[in-house]
Amino acid sequence: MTHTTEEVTNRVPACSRSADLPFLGVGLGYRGEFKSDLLANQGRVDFLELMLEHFIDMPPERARDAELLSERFKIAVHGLDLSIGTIEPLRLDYLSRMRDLVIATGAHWASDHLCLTGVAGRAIGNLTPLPLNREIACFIATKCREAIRFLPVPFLLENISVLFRPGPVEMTEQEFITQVLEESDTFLLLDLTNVFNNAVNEKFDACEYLDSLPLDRVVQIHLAGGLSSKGVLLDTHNAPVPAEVFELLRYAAPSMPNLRAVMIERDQDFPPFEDLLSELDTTKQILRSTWAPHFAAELIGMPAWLRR
Amino acid sequence: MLIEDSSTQLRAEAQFQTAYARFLTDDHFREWILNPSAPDDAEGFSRATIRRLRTMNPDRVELFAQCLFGNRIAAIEEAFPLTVKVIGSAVLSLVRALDAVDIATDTRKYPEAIRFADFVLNGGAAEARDLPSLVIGLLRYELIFLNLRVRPQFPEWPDSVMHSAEDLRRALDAEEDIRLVLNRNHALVSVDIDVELLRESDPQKIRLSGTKTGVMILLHRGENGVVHEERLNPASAAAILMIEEAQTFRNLVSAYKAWLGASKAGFENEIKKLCVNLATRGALGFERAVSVPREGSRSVGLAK
Repeated sequence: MTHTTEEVTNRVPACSRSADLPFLGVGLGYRGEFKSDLLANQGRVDFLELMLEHFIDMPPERARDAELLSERFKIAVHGLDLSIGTIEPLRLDYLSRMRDLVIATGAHWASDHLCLTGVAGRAIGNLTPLPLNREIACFIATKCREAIRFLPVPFLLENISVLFRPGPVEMTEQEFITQVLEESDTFLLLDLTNVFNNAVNEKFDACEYLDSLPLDRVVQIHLAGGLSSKGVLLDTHNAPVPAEVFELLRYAAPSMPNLRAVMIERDQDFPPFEDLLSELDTTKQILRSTWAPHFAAELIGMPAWLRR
Repeated sequence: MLIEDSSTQLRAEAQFQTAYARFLTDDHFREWILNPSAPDDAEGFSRATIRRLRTMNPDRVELFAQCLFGNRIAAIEEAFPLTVKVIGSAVLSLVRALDAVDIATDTRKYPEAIRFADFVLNGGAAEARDLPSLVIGLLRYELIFLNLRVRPQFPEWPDSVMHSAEDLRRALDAEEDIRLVLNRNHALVSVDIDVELLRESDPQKIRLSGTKTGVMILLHRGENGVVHEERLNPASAAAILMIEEAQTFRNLVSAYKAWLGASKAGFENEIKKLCVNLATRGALGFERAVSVPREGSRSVGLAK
C-alpha cells in the first residue's frame, strides 16, 4: 500500500516534542544468548533495547555488559513490571532502577507496558489486560505524568497482546490508549505483533485498528513472532516475524512522523544470528521504501542504510 | 493521586483488580468462581466483582493461566535443570503445593527460583518432605551454584590477598609460611549423584538406583562470572575443609597429618600441588605472614 505525501500529512497531526528524539534506527532486544554474535556484527544493528529485568540485582558482569553495550550501541531501556495499570501508587522503587539503568547506559528513552503485572503484592507473572474504562485511563495518565517527571528521558507505553478483557467495556482499546497517551503526553511503543495477534484472536481488522490510534505518538515499534495454541496466537517471541506483521509495518509506517526506532524481539528458540540480521534487513528495506520518503529528510544523523 | 482520595468507581476497580489477579493465579479460586453453583458474593469480594470475573472468556483465561504456570515451571527448570530432570513431572505438584501456601510477589526468575528452593528444602509440604535425600542434595547443590552465579559476594578477597598461582608456588617452594585464603565465592558441596553424567543423560533413562554416595564438588566463581566445578577425591576435599581452620600452610600440613593418623611420604607435596591447583582456578589466594605462630594459635601477623 502506498500513500502520497499529502495523504500522510493530512492524517498525521503534529507532535513536536518527539521531533527532538534521535533516530535510533533498526535494532534488537538484547539477550545474552547472542552477545558474541552481536558484537561481531555490530555494524548491522543500529541500537539495542535493554530489558530492565535482566539488569536488576544482577552480578557485576551484567553491569559491565550494559556499559560495554552502551559504548557500542545506542540504547533504549524497556521494563516489564512497572504495572502502571494497577490501582496503586506508582512503583517508585522500580522506576528508580529504571532511571539508574537509563543513566548508566545513556539510554534515549525508557518504556513499559500498558497493563498490570501485580496487585496488592501478588505477582501475576505476565502482562495482563486492563478493563477499558475512562476512570482507569485517567488514573494511569496521572501515574504516567509522575513517571515522566521522575525519569530523565521520555517515557513510552506499549500495547500488549490480549487473550481476554475484563468487562464492562466502556471504550475501545484504541480510545483507551489514546486517552492515556494524550492526558499524560506519553509516547507510544507500538507492538505490531500484538496488534496482529489481537486482530486474529478477536477477529478485527488490524489496519482499521491502526488507523484509529494516535500514530503521531509512535516513537518505537516492536516486531516479533510467536506460537499458536488451540488456534490462539500467543506473544511468545520465539519465532520469526510473520509476513503479515511486516505488512502492517509497511502499512502504518508512513503515518508515523515521529518514529525513531524499530526493533525485533526474540527471547527463546534463538535461530542462527544471520536470521535475525536478515529480519533487520527486511525491516530496513520497508522503512527505506515506505517511511523515509515522507520523514527521513528531517532526521539528523540519518544512518547510511536509510539514504537512497 | 492517592487511592484514598479516589472515586467510588476507582475504589471498586481496585477491589476488582485484587480479585482479578487472584483469579488468574490461584487455580482453586478460579475453579470456585467459575462453579455456577457457587454463591456470587464471598471471600470478601462484591457480587459485581465476581460477576465481572464470570463474564470473562473461561477458555482464554485458562490458556493464560496455563501459560503463567508453564513460564514458572520453565524458570524453575532453568534455575535447577538437574533437579527437574530427576524429579520430572513431580515439579508440577511441588509448585502447586507451593501455591497453596504462598503467593509469588516477584515475577523475576531468580526470586521465584529461590522461593521454590526454600520451600522444598524446608519441607514446606508433604510433596517436598517425601523427596529422596538424593534430590534434596542435588537441589542444594544447584541452589549454591545459582547463588554463586547470581548473588556472588564482593569483594571476593580481602585487599591484602595475592591470588597468583605462580607467586604461591614460589612462596611454597621457598618454604615461606603463608596464610591461605579461600575465595569467598566458593563452596564445597556433596551430592549423591554423578552430576556430570546426569547432565548428559536422557531424562527418560535416569535411574536413581545407580547413584554414588557423597561425591565432593568444589564450586567456585571465575572472574568472568562463570561458575566452575571440580570433582574432588576425599583427601583433597578434606584438605580444603581444613584450610579455613588451619589458616596457614604449615598448620594445614599438621592438621592433614593428624587426620591421616600416620605418616605418608610425600603428602606435603600433594597439599602444595592442591593449593597451587586451587590458586590456578582462582579459588585460593594467600597472604605472606611476618611471623606465623605454630599449631594451636589463631593469631597471624601479616605483612603490610
